[in-house]
Amino acid sequence: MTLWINGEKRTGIDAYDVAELVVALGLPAPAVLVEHNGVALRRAEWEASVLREEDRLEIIRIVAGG
Amino acid sequence: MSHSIIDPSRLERIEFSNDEIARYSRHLIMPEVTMEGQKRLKAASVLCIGTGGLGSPIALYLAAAGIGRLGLVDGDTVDFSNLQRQILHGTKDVGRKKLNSARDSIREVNPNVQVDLYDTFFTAENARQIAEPYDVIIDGTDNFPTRYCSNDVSVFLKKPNVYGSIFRFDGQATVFAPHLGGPCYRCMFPEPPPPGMVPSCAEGGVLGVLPGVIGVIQAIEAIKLIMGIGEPLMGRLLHFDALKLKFREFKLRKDPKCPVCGPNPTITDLVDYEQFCGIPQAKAAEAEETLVPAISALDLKAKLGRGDRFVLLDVREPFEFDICRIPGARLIPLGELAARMSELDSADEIVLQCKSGMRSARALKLLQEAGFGKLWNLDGGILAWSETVDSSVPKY
Repeated sequence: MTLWINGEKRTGIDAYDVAELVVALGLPAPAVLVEHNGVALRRAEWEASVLREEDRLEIIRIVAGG
Repeated sequence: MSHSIIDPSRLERIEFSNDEIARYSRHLIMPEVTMEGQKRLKAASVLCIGTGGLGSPIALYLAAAGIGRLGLVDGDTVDFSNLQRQILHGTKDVGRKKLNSARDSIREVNPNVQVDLYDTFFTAENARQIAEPYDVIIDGTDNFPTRYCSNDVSVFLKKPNVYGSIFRFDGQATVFAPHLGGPCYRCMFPEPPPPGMVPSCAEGGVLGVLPGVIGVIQAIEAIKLIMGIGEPLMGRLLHFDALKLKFREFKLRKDPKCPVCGPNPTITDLVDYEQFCGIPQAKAAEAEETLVPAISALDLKAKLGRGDRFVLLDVREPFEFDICRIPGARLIPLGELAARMSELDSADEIVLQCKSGMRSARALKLLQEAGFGKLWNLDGGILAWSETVDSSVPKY
């Protein structure tokens, strides 16, 4: 599947929903925020957010330093 | 255009000397600010939690801009490793309390500012009392427990919490203010990530200039809330990538089920934030993990002095080995150890060493499982070696 992740085109991604995508990208789920097609998702909504071709995702890893 | 969080009645007593008028003239001539906005700044009080990388530009710029009262919370002392980014503190301040050094720098910039010092860390025990008198809370801390504490106390006291965080080349900022219709930190992250998942700047490093960018954004947001101008960075997380030099904006939603700012909160008072973030549990697990045969730095020195036959194995990364090393040490990074075990002889006595003793303890267990018998872990790593044996080895 082809997705736009943080503005960059990514091809060959195998994920059914946002939860699977976070795993497929090797990201630490508890430290990640996801926006799917312009909608900010809560963690509980990741499974219900099914991915389609050319979907746009913004993914941010939280940082805590100061 | 938003409303100022400063009640107009508080501006009646505010006056400026001619020196102050000259000092703030570049503000006063802007129609968005005028005497009215500058009075709001002087009437306002801001609490800055932390006087480190973020706290430095926040405090210096708010002071320069003419904030009336600035509270600073920090229980730390100035270390050489702070100076690359914490511009409140200078070389002569190493070893001083950060608060004293911060107070001196702020006085130098603007003696008209009232500076309140809280020589402590911000915890459930003192947070409410410290934060109560201030109009805006600014979170410039460096750890999850203090961030949740800062969030919760701001929600309970109905004060905006101007958030900023940094790591390596990335920074983030937003304004949490449920009482003004925005989300809070817990809407964004109901549960803290487990300890170790999000490394600190001490562990992963940080570009020294980066907190300048993020701290200044936090100072701007505080000033806008106080003056009641512009659009606050509320419900939006601003992410800054210094390497790509790109800003991205990320929507944040208020969570109707939020345990602190939702309509049916389950958390109505401050909690033990260390416990909530799993810190004691992680420390216990870490103590368990380093429970391996250990040798002190002094004993290792004696062992070397006696000319004992053994291998000193450094399991850090090559770039760390370049910074400093114990003479005679061999380098095999922990991540390569499993594949390069054949380079070692299980008949040899081996002393394992890293920066602080954690990675070498893991390496020791790896070798133990592979049948190596005569193994020791250098307690406290090369930091302890520098501290107790050879101060010419730099600490990093």
